[in-house]
Amino acid sequence: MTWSDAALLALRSLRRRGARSLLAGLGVALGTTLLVALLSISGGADSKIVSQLSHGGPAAAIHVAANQPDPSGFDTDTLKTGPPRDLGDAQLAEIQHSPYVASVVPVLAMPALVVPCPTYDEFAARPVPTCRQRTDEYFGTLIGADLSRFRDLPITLLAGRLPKAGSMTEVAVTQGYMERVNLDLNRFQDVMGSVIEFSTPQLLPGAGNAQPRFRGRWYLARVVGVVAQTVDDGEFLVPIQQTQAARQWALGGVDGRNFTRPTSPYSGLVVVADTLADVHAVRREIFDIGYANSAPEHLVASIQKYLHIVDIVLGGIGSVALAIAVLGVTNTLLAAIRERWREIGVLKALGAADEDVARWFLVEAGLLGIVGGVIGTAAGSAVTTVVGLLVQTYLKEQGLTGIDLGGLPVGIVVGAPVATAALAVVAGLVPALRAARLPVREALGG
Amino acid sequence: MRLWLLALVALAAACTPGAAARPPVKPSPTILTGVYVAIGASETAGIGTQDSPREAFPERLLQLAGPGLTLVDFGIPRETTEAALKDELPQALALHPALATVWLNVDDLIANVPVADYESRLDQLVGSLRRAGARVLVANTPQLEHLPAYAACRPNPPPGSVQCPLGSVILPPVDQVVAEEQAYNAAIAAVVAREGATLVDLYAAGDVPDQHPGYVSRDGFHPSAEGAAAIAATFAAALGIPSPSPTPPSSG
Amino acid sequence: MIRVRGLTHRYGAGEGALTVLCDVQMDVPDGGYAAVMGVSGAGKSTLLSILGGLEAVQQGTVCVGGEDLATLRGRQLARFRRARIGFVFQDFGLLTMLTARENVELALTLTGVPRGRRKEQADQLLGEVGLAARATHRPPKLSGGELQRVAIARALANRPAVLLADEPTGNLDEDSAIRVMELLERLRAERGCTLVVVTHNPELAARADERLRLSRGQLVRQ
Repeated sequence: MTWSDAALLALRSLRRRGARSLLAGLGVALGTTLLVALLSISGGADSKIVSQLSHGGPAAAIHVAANQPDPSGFDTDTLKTGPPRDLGDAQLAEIQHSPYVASVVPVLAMPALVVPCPTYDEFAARPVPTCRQRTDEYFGTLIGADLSRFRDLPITLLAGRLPKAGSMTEVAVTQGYMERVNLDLNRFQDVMGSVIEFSTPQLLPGAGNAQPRFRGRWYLARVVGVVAQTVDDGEFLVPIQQTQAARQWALGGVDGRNFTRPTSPYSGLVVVADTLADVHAVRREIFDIGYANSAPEHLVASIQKYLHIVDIVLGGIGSVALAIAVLGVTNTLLAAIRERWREIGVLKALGAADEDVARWFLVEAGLLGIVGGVIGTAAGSAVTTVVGLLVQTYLKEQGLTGIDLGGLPVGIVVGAPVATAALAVVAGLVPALRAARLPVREALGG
Repeated sequence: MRLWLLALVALAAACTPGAAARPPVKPSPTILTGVYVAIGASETAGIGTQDSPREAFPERLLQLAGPGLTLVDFGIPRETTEAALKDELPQALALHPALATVWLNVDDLIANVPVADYESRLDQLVGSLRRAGARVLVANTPQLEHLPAYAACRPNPPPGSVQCPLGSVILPPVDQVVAEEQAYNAAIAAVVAREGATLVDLYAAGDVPDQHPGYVSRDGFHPSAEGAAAIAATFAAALGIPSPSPTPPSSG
Repeated sequence: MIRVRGLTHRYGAGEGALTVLCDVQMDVPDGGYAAVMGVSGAGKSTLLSILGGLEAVQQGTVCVGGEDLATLRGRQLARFRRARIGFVFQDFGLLTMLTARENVELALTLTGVPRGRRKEQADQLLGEVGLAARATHRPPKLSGGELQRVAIARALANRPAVLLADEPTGNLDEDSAIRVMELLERLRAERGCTLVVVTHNPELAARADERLRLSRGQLVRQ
């Protein structure tokens, strides 16, 4: 009996017990759906997270400080610094030329007196909730960076947008600022459009014996966005031109007991390595050049480990589901043997060899597997798509960057039905062998 | 002490409801950008307000003139025009200002600077700013004789008046003060005309304490927060920028 | 031709063993027609199974169609059955999910006849048994007599040397039984097959050339 003849026989057998075949096939389909969906969701999410991390993306960014390194700082994730050391374009270029460095973004943080909501707020399109309650001015930090390169910076945009590159009148704030002006941290719209007045300091020598005094350079900026950021400690993210102007202003004055002029052109750098594996080497390089730096290496390694565990668990769950389904195939076929004893006997009486009988059952198992596998893969793909859409919608509602899980990997689309069929054939081995070895006389019921 | 004159100045400035209430000059179509330098003395530094970063008149003017301007406030208490030429002007010029406000007259009056000298120094200061490309607003001397501080520094001050901030100094009589104000204001007008600046007429406000008692701070000399706001509105009007109301809404 | 010498067959082992056939001898010439009778449990079906290669020879020699079955095992027996034997069962032995034509084709499938020729041959056989019009009908739609005729067509599909019929009329009414036996006998004669029929019906047995009776494990001629 050829395989195609066995297939015809198998098809007829499956049709004869349509409901039972359908249930067995559905079981396989469900198990396949679960496994395919879990694998592709976890794989997709994994690969996005890991690819961001493994490309040395902002989550694994190396923070370089305008300080000499502290010898004990290399083996920890926290930044440990030595004495200050100027960090300028020459050093930036030197670091940029290191192997495995993908990008270097300079950062300049400057202190400023912050006046939340100066009294006249006629620039807002409508009275903003920010200004309903007066908040005292305080000293904060302006973090200046080239915001056109925000993809290389550990910044997450929670609402609105980033200040336009080079703008001298726009600012993005953190939820820390929202907390300070007594706003609900989840109501980003309450802070958007409000105006903040900043004054950056310059220390003037006192005339004669008079005390040195500060002179401020005042300007207004409008809040255009809310961010979460770990570029530096501070509540205000601005284009670097704003802090560079503040630096020039401070340099025009003198040093004081509690005020040092910012001689370093940059207060730090954000360095992105080519891959996650290169972070350690790049850190060492920067260390040797002579600058303190840090990166969440231990954290990232832990994340990767946990992701791996999650993958294993999800894969395990899906596999168990599929195994249960495939066992259903075994069960179905074992039941079929009992029903078909006489038919098996007749087939053997007609001259069918043991392997002919085995072929009949194996093909039946394989058909259940492949049909269940194809349906399950299609359903798994649909589930993945729906989950992906829901995740995207949720992330966007929360003001976060979406993750595109991507479509089903080709490997799964092709591999899942094939693997399921193979598994079902394996599951059908025991029934097939049993049927094949049935003594003819016994099968005929003589 | 120049404080009483500063207060007089502030009050006088605050007492320009006419100026604040004057229909706004046709708004300038150009949005002001660049550096705004405030040259002056105590009132420029915000003395008399509770919270100078928010309430001093240059800061108020910054808020009215919109984002795009960066303010450096050079106000130094007790500053005369001669001192300002040395202490404030060079640094102001180094910033290449687009806008400048100049309010220097009270301390010169107190120091008895002759009008001719005052005019010459003011001309030098305003001229330098104009040649640097700045639009310059020059405030003249308000009617100082109406301030409670003036009466307190005269013989037999009225009962319940504020303490004279000049200690035991006795101020000249009213007619003398008025004559000096007018002489200074004539000099200011001449400088403005000569150098192509813009006059901010605080003298025209008249008797400010009588019309707006809230414009004077508790010490009877300096403008209160409301007074500073009114002063800023006056400067804004001179720039052609409309302001919402003569009295700013309280923020508390 | 069928030649059996000293055939002994037991079920079980040791003291509880049941001897079903004891030193059986049997001769049926080529083209012969023998009937084997006996009560239920006499061992008739066992004898037929051994002759058909459905059970292995335990003791003795069994030559059927020139093959010594004692020397055959497993796959060889399957080949022997395909090539030499045609079975007709009491309960017809048709696969209910296949049509009449497909049931006949099944026998041809096992001998590797190409698909195209199978249909042709099956239809021809069904025609010979008078069921050409019922080729596409499944067993549930056929009567008992029709079912047995399909089974006969299937049994003859591979031109067997020997036809073994185990109570072929056991589930049929009298008229159908006669028609089936007449068909079987006619086709046997046309093809020159050796026919061995197991029956407990003396009238059926009387139609055969040779009548044998199996009793207490012994086969005797009647």
